[in-house]
Amino acid sequence: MSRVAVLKGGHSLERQVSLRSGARVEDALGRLGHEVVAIDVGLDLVARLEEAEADVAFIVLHGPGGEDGTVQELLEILDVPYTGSGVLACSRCIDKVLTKHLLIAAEIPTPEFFAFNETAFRELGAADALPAIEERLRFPIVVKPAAQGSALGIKFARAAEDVPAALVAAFSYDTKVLLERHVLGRDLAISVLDGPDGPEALPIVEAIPRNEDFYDFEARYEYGRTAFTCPAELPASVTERVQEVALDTYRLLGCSGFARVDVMLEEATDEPLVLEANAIPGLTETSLLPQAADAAGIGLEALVDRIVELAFERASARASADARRQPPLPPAKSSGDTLSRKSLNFSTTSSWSSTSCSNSIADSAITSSAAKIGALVRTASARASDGRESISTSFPSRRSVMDA
Amino acid sequence: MRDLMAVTARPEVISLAGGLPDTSTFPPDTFAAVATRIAEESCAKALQYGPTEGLAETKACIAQVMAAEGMEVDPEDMIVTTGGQQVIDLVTKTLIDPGDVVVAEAPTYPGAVPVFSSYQADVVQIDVDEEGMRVDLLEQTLERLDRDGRRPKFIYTVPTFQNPAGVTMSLERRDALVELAHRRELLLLEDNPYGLLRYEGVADPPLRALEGGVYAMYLGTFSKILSPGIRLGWVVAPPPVLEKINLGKQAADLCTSTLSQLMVQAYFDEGDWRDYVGSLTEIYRARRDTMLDALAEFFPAEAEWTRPAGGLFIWVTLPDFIDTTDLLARALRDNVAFVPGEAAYLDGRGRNSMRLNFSGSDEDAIREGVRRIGKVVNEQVALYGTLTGRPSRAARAHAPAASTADSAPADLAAADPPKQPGGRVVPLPRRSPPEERAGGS
Repeated sequence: MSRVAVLKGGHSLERQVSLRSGARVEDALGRLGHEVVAIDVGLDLVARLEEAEADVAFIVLHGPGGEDGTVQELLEILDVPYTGSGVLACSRCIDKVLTKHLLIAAEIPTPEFFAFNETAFRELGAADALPAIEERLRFPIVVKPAAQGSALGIKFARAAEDVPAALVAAFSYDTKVLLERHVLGRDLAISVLDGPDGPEALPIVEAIPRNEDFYDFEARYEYGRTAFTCPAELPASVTERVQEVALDTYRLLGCSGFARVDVMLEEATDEPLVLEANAIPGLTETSLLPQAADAAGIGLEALVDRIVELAFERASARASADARRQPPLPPAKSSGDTLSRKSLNFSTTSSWSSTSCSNSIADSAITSSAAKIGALVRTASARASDGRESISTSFPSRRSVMDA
Repeated sequence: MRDLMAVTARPEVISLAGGLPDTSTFPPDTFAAVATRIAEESCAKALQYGPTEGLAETKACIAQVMAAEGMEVDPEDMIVTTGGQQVIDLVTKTLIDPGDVVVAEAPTYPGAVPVFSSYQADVVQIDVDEEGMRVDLLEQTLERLDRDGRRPKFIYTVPTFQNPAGVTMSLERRDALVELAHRRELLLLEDNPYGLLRYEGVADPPLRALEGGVYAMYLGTFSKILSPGIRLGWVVAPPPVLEKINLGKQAADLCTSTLSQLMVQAYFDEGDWRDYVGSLTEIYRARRDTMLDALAEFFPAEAEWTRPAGGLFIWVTLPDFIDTTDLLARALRDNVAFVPGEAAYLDGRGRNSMRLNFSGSDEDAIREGVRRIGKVVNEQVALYGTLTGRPSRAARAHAPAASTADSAPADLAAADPPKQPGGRVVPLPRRSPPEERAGGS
């Protein structure tokens, strides 16, 4: 039995889903005999966390702020073990553009796409490139913000005249958007759960729109407009291939604990194409991860129990790795760098959309030499944890970091 | 969208979204006097159940309110309800079987949409213009329904200071609607929460006054003239309908809060209830003018909005390439909220419109909120211009939306006419000149 802080709500547009997931997790944790401290995250998060003296934080936040590594970074600084993926994996998953670049580099199939930020249009005349893009991708084209969790801001452009309005909509959510080839096929979600023998893909959930219009994306998220079947009715070989692709994606992005990978099984080719990975999938009564777990014979309580257990395991694995390494004090220069980076991060956490600098550095290293992707991911995460380690060594009192 | 609306409740958000009256100026000593009076005179009664149809003393107060708008009513024809919202629910529950047709306005009160949907009504929406519901279109629609052998169970309308469009039905249309109801023997549900909150002009009679109560059902509420917190509304309806509503009311909650009903009675005994309505009217008029001025200052020339003579709302229509649900997501990052237009439709229209409320925020907040929304709208208009290679319209909008490209070269406009806006269904008056708009303040 432990003291578990459930982090939920927050300022994200997916606040409602998060609160519903959080309530379910709290109930499950209570039934498992844990002591639950529910925290609706806001400006007082650090104070609440310190007051809570929790053994572990269960993060059920969705979208920017909670799912992008920001809260995770904060928990690293406070030295509180937490559920799910770490900072680096979260910042990879939240950014669909980054995810897709990594997938391509690792030769995991993903629909063809082009990504732009607002500056490209405002200052570089990227609009002139739209006809070429449209010719490459063919209509309909899916336009989406890089960093929004749910279906918000995702539009279908059926013809060239739809594209500008679709871009305007997508830019409402993020400064970076992507135009993606629309894949006609079956809409699959593969939840991955870590276990004693490494990550395992749970039974596949298929989303089947109730109406005929397969362009109607919003339907998927509206109650009653989409039917979900689990396990999806697929030939065994296809199931295996789809699950394999999901596991490859999970490992590539460096996820831990659990995640959900969304895949389109293209009708014409029978090829699974990865759309995105969600570092913190929903846990509501209609969410896909609980459905998949249930189909694998893992009820909500067992799922929550496993997720908490994994958080402890990850924390202790890292602690023992740290102990083994017996690190000397880091060189003065790099420790100084780390300091400024951390303080910078910290001062900007009030703006939830800020992305951690550390991760962009690591990620650019990855993308620049994409060939040895696996090795580089490992290097990058080692580097990231080194950074953290040097923090705790250079700052014996965490308080001082907080106050800075 | 509902998930988005949940985020608007954050304290740092300037919300122009709700329909909240300002309760901050209600005199606390009046509240105390009311409470004391109840404690001294009717403590046991206030704590007890009451009759389903409501207390006679409360009905007498309601009769006063209705008389103030030119209606005479028999207390026997009235049921006191838990807010006006319950009336919509009870009437729909009483009259609608799944698949039955309800006629509503387009746009309609967003709070009625989930009620109609939950009873599986087939809602047919009739466009509204600056004179309220288009009764000519209603007639055509009814003829079309006739041919399919269908007929609406009732027609739902907010004729005065309509929610969400802010427009008021003209007397001509009121007469036409009443005549139509009689000729076709159709029930009307007149929703009149704001009729007494008039900031200019002279009131036309409510439908109920014109019609006499044969086919017109009437919904009233204390929410906007006293307090929404006391949850007190009422319905006046023809006896056969009223009996059914009474049964539905028993099933729903047995009776309306006795305490709230006695508060109204005590409040009416304390002083003249019209004084507080008068003070609210002064406050809201200034806020409306502030909002209209801010819209003129901060919104782009491509935007249009209504100029309500009363009530709580202004309806803004943006260029059709802006989706106001997405715009809300963006605006929330700047801590400002509104109701996206699609909430007022059941058929996906209204995507480029928004409802703004001016009663629930003070003048500084209204101005700042409109400024923030305007900034985001301007950004999106500019971005769209960049994406299409068409500059945004600099001149004031004189013509309907079909001339969006009127500042672009003529050949371009001719070669590539903008598509018809799917969401614009309120061809409301264009911006009035600033001097006119500032009038009254």
